[in-house]
Formats: sequence, structure tokens, C-alpha cells
Amino acid sequence: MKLPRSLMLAGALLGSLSANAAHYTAEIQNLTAGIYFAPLLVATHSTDTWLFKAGMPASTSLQKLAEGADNSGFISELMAAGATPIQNPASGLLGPGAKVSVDLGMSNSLQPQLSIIGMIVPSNDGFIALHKLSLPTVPGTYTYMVNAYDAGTEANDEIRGAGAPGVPGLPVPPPLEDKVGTGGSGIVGATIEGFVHIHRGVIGDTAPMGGSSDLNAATQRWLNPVGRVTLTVE
Amino acid sequence: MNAIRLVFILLGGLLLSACNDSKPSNSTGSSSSSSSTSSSSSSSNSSSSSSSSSSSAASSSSSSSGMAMVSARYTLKITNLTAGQPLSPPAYVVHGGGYSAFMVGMAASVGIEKIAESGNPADFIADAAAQPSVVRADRGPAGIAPGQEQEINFSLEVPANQLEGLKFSYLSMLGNTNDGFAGIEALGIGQLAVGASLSQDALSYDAGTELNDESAAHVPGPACSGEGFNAARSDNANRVTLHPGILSQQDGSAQSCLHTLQRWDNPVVRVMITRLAP
Repeated sequence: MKLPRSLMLAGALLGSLSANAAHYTAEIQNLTAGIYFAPLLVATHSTDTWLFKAGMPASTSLQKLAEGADNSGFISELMAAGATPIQNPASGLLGPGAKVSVDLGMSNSLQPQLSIIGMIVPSNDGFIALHKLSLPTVPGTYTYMVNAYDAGTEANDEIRGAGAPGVPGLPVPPPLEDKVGTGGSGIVGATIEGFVHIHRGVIGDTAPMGGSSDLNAATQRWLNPVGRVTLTVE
Repeated sequence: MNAIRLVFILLGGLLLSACNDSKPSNSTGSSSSSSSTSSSSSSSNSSSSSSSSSSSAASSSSSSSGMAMVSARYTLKITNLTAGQPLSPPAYVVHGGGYSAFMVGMAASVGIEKIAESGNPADFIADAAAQPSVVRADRGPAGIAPGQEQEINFSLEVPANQLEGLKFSYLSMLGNTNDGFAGIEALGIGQLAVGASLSQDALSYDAGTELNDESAAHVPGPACSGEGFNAARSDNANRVTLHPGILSQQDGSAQSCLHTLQRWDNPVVRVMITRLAP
């Protein structure tokens, strides 16, 4: 069979790129004014791996992550699929404006796609995701904006509660104890949406005690993008 | 991003050349084998209204140059990323550099106004189809509920030297708004090789033709069931801008017929375009 010239060229170029092992680093920054990223999960994986699909119901693993920052479901899934997930690179919450650098390793140890996912707190079932990014192979610095999603598994009532799957309310990690209000009556009309979608943001109120929400309308709203990932290939 | 595009083109070229290699075996019946994926109703529905536009574009360009025509087939997958904003039937246009569906800062056309206030894309599509640089202007078969996806298949024929410059534009009304719409303007799709896909997120825009009063009288979507298109331009701005979002009753607007579920943030729609084998 005669190979088309472009095919041979592409093969030669891809071959030479993969032969030169490159080092990958991902820097993750929280761009929001008052929202925290709960422990993040960072992994490269095969193109067959999906953590979620927008418009579809969340998996149990996503529900655990988005409602309670429990990444264990995805860690098990990723390891079973042959990936080596990096859990909690920031050693706790990644606060407003803060960044963390994650050493992904050399190209020969990486799989073709990168995902970065983690709950946003305080929220009912919000999470950030850079999902299934096909890793560039040419050395350089690449910037990606990251959006906030809603897992659709819990009503956005915006009042204190717990993080276990199916238990309503916001889980409040100890460092945020003073930043979340008390005694809110809950946002009227909040429902379990039933599918993963782009988060519509929170409403909040201006009453630390009482009111309709335990979130602060002045400091805990956000708009997309909420994060930035800077990928360095060298 | 440049590097991604490079890899994309490389892989695309690989697929394209592999496909060309096998072409002689099935060149006689190329279209018969490939009606694989769903929603044949949408493609049959859509081919009727746009055949005039593609033929007019074809005739004008073939008269200017004797260039050979090439055909290309595409699938659109349009996903509504919002929690509570139903999308009106998608209007889409494939065009060259001489056409612009809308521009931020400029007044909306009546066609845009009708999409943004009532979800009716007929005028917008008819206007686009009449433009010489438009190759195809058409609509999807139905609206798209929150979280739902619609697939649209279509094909087109252009002079070979115009394929690389093809652009894609898209609009749907955000149904539970006064005059909000999701839009993609002039996304380049001409570099797509057969088998390759491109995913683009759409932002929300305000047509600037109707005041955002969020009232039950003026928001036509299911949350309010108010009036649709009204030719009066009640928004003083009278220009297309990025949408400022809605207030809703829960955010302190007592007169709003909208609720927390109808709020949104960008992006509001994801469009995946895949070029199929001809």
C-alpha cells in the first residue's frame, strides 16, 4: 500500500515529538474574589475516561465530590483505569487568588488527556473542572480558563448543612466557619436540577444571621471563569 | 493554543489522506453508507429551506471562477448548559468572510430581534440566505430544554478554494428572558478534516431591543408566558452587548417573573461540530 505523503510526514513528526520526553507542569489558580477550591484531583487519563457529561445526570463519584469534597470515588475509578491521580496538591483549600503548581511528570509517564476537578466551597454542589484536555506535545506555555459547574444533585438552598451525598445544605470546612452565615431560611424555589450544567452562581444575602441565604451576596458570588490553568511543557 | 491547532491539523490531515486513499472503492455511492447517526428528521426538515441558499451561492461563485465544487457533511451537537433557560430552535449559518450574524456594539437586525424576543428564526435565516457569502442558513427542528442535546446533520457544496475559509454562526433565544440569546459568531470550521471535531462554547448576549424588565407581560418563555416579538425598541441601548444576566425574584426584583432556576452564567451552550465523510 502506498502511504500518502502527508501521512508519513505526520507520523514522522508525531514520532519525533513523542521520542523527545518533555516535562509537564500545571499551575492552578483560583481567580475568584471569595470562593475556595476544596482539595483538587489532578490526573492524566485515556481518551475513554469521562468524569461527567454536561447535560447528563452526575455519577455517584461526582455527587460525592461536588456535595462533600470526597474525591475517593474518582480516585478509585481513575486507578482502576490505569491512571495515577494526584490528590489534594494544595494540601487543603486553595483560596481566592491563590495558586498551586502540580508536577505532572515526564511525557512518557502521562496519558493523553488531563482533567482537574474539585468542589467549590461554600456551595451546595458546585465544582470546577478542566475536563479531558488533550495534552499539547509541542513545548510551550498554554493557558486554559476553567468554569464552575453544578452537579445537579442537590438543591442550591445556600444554607448550612452537610456534605454527605443526598444530605441537603452547604458543608462548611473549619477554615470557612466565620465566612458562612447562620440561620438563613433557604433560597425559595431551589430544586435538584438532575443534570450537570454550568453553575448559575449563588444569590446570597447581606444578613450574616437570618435572611434567605447563609452566603454573602457581596463576597461569595462569582462569574466564570473561576480558575486558570497554566500548563508548561518543557 | 497554536500547538493544539497544529496537532489538530496534523491528525486531521492524517484522517483526510487516509480517507482519500480509500475513496475509489466507494465513490459511486458515497452518501448511501453514511446516514448512521440519529435525527434524520432534522436533516430532512432542514434541507428543504436552505437548498435555495446553497444553490444561489453555488451559482454565483461558479460563474466567477470555473473552480471545481467540493461537498462537505457536518454534524452539530448543541447542548444546553443552563439550569433553567430553554433554547429556541437553533438558527445556524455557514458562511464566508463577507457575512456577520451579529456584532457587539451594533444595533440588532430585525431578524436577530425576532430570535431574541420570540425565538422565531425565520427572518434571520431568510436574510442570511439572501447574502452572497452565505453557503447555508437553516434551523434545527425544535427547541432545546435545559441539559438536553440536539443533533443536526447537514451537507453543503462550495468551490474548492472556499472550503478553508468557511465560518459557522449560531443563535438561539434564551427563552426565559426579555431579549437574551446564545450566540457563536464566525467560528472558523474550514480547517476541519473529515472525522475531526471542534467544540465551542457560546456566550449569552442581550439584543438590546427590549428593556430587561423580567415582567410576566414581556418574557415569552414557560416561566412567564408573556409577549414575544414587539417591533418597538424599548431598550434605550439598542445595541447588542454581552448579557448582564437576570435578577429574579430571589435576588430582590419583586416584579420579576423569573426565579433562581432561570439564572445562568456563561457559557450557556456547547456546540460540537464534526465533519463527516462526504
